[in-house]
Amino acid sequence: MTEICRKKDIELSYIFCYTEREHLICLFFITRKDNSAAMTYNSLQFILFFAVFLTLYLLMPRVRLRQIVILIGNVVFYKLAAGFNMLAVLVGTSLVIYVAGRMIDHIYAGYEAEKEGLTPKEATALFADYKKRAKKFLLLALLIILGILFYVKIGKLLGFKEVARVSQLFALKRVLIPLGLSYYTFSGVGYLLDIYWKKAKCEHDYFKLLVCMTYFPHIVQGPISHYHKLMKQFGTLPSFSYERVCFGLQRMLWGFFKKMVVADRLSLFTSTIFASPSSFAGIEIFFAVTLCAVELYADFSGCMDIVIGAAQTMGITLDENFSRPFFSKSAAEFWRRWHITLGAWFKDYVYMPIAMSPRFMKASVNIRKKRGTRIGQIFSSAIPLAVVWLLTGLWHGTGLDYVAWGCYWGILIILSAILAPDFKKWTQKLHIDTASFGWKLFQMVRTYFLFVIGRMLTVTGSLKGFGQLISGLFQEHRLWALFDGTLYQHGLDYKNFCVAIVGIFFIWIADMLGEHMRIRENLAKQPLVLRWLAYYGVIVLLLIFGMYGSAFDASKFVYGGF
Amino acid sequence: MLTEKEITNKEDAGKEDTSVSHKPRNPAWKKLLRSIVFLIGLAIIISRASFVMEPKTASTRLTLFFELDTSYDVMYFGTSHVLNAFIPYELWEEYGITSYNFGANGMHLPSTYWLIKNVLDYAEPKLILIDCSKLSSDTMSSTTIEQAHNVWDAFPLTKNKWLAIEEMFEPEDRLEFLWKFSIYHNRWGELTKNDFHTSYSTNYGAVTYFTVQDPKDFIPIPDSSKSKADTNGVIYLRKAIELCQSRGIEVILTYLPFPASSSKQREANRAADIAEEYGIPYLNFLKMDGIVNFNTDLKDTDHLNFSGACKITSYLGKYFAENYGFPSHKGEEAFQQWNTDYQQYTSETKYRFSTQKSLDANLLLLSNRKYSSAIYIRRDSVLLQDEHFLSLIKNTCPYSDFSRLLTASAEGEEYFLFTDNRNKTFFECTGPETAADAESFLTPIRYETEPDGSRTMSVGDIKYRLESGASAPDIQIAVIGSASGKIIKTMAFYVTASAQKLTATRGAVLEHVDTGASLDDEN
Repeated sequence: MTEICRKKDIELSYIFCYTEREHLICLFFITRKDNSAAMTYNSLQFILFFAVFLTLYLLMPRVRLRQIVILIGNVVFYKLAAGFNMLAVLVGTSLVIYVAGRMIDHIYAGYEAEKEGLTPKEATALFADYKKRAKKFLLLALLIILGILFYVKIGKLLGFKEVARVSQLFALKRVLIPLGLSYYTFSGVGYLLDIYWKKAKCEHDYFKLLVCMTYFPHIVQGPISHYHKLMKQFGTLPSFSYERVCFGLQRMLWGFFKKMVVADRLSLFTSTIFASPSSFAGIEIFFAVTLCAVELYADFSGCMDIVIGAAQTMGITLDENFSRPFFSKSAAEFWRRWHITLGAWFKDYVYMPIAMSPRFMKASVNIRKKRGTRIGQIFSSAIPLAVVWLLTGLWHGTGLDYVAWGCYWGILIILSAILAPDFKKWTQKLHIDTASFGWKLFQMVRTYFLFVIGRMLTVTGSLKGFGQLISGLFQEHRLWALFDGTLYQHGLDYKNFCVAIVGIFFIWIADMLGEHMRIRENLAKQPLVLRWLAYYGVIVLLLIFGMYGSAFDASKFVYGGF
Repeated sequence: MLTEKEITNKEDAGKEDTSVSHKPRNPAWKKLLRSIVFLIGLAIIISRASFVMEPKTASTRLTLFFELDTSYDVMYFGTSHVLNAFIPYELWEEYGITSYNFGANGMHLPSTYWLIKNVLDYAEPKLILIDCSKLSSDTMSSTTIEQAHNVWDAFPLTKNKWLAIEEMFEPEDRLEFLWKFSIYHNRWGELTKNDFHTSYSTNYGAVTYFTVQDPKDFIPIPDSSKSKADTNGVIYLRKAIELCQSRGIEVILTYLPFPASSSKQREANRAADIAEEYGIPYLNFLKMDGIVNFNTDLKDTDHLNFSGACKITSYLGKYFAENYGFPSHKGEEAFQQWNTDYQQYTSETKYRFSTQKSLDANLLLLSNRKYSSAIYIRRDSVLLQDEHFLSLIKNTCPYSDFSRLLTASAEGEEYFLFTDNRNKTFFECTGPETAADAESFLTPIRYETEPDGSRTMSVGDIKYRLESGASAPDIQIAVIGSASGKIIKTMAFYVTASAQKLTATRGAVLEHVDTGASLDDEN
């Protein structure tokens, strides 16, 4: 439980947690109230926080002490990034998940005790009865935690006033948006469903669950973790390893480079265009929409590199969220490589339950019998995909633009699945060598621009903006903007454009190499001078060309808003 | 070295960290040492990069202060009024007093207090002069963040700088002062070769301007009208005085001259109370007539130009010498650098006669006592009807009552003025008057009419023909070094009258009449 006391300009906060052995731990935190500047992963505040945290963490000789340091780090991080009121909501959610998980587990334990000596048929019938009882707790917990998410999303849609304190929620039309709500809600739902489906064991140590849920590297932007896997790692936190810490820091450095040198630089240009799309046309919009896809990739994957690297320094392996998505040759492949954990979550907890549900399977079989195999296949793949993509769109945002975005990807992926046999026939008829580099390159470019079109739907914040982008793209070419310097007057001058292009080139090279080798591992085998030159080079490039400091104030991560 | 896969596998198994690598492992101390060396190397690289990226505006002004091993008699603190009003070289030249100008644009008194405190970490002057402009303000640092950078960027990070930044700035603004690289790293696109080395300004902090602006009205208010007594300006002025007194440093307060608004005059009146309270001298130039002339000595509505600065510096030099008994350091071995630097300053000032395109600027330069001058204005010139230019011409010669200039102005006659700043004398002619063999001056000088009716001027052995027709330049000038008596520069200006003002265009140098004399001194 979190309690917060206030005394003039300081806050005294304390958290009670029960450890595995039912020891009560009380953590006190005294912080200044006027801590208004929110901490992001690329802020100096975070770097200082992480340096102190990591030093303390690595000095801890025992696993339990490391766990406690992580919990303290989580609380401090959340306080600095969002405030204690937000943390209270998160802790409340964790209690709901913990209690529900324990109750389901308790019910299943009853079943395990009672099933002794029963025939399999009797055991199945008995289990169905117990599962029904467990389902009540599951549904109640899902109602609460998904209810919070739903309320926040609807509140944002209806323009409710965003507030910073729990007490302010009692007034009408107020919404408190806890940091990382979408991410920890999905992880929590997955955790409960896994217990309910008996895919994973329930965690009895609330302390461990709390550490896992609040774990600061993944709380803001994911990856959406499987709590039971993560908690297993928390149970065996390894001691200091020089190589592991070096690898972790290197990955963080690369993430900072992607975010601060490329993404934030490109955003100066793209945000200028998207803020007023009707003022621009032709080549200006083409550049903006083309670059905004790279910007989003550099931003989001950069953040993932930072958080996965940070976790690696602690000896924790977080799930990868990206696997060189712009090398994808189809929309479906793209979404297996982009925001992988979200796609996996929807597959595990939405697609599969629908596709594998007895009623749906029965309906599919019926349609296959009545309408033929092709129609049956279309039905069995299209319905779950349609639900998944509608929900994916709503997860990203509740506006019509995100609904359209979800529909766009849903239709694309459903059509590509349905028409796959036809495409194969056409390529054969046209004598296209589908194994050739040229065809693969065409597929990659095509997939990239399919993503760009999807991005255009949401990037201006409205469908009207999308319409303006589309009409602006074709109404006038404005090719002269490339030569008379006009292009460099939209937030990014010529020199900064060059830096951004070189940065994109570096990312592309790294992704290319990453397809075939482990870059950090290979670098570690090089002579010391070469390695250090590479490290110094990246650090200096980051420090000089990174967008940070008071002259730059637009460095929030794009996916931190979900 | 372990591979990433090995690390992951090992950690997944939940084992403690033991080596599974085939290579022999480096001992822990070697890894630690390697990390430390890496971090030291990184610190050196960042430090160098930080130096290159930093604009040199602030450091240029203060490099001399940090690097020159000298002692200072006087230091000046305050706003841009101070920055533009005190010229340490002029004080050195006239009185042999060493001083440094720490005035800064937009600096408010709390910042002045912290600046004094930081400066005293490096030097211990005998006297500190604090100007009381912005006494009624509550602002803690400078008017703009850029101005604050100009004050603080040159100072190394010390405890006193840390305390200053902490007290003056909001938390979100502190980083850019404590770690300048965080704001200047964006300058990579503007770097020039000058950014790669330390640059110096040998002006000991002073910045002078060579423009003239006509003044706004100055309406004095009663002494009893005063600004508030509880502003941050007042609080920190007190702290500054107490700091100096606790260190045994004498303090003098000033309020520099300009056509001050009534609110500024109220500040000046409040400063008098503070000076009285602490028993320290206070020079309120707003109430002192005859030192500067607002018609010629302002660069804009509030700040003194070169002419005004020379006058204030000269006045204060005399005041310091009389009231504090500072001895002249001119002959002292330890201050030879001042003499060397002064020669450079003089060369730069001379060079300005070539580079300053405007007549205003050149007439301003002539107000400096290092230069004497011969000025000829042709008959019927529009200059003779313009109060602004007449004031500037009068400003070059403080010894004359300009009776002939008034006559020339009234009758449209030609006019000649010779000013001898070494002997502090002059002569002037109007109409057909001439002056021959005036040998009592710093150099033999003649102003004559030739048999063909043309006008000539001889400075020493060198004779110049003065153009006097309707198409001739309106004003022709010879600049003479007061010490050497030799010609430094000749110049001519054509003046045209538009609806609002006169515009002067620089013409050729004066025509030299061959007399066999050398022209080596003309540059």
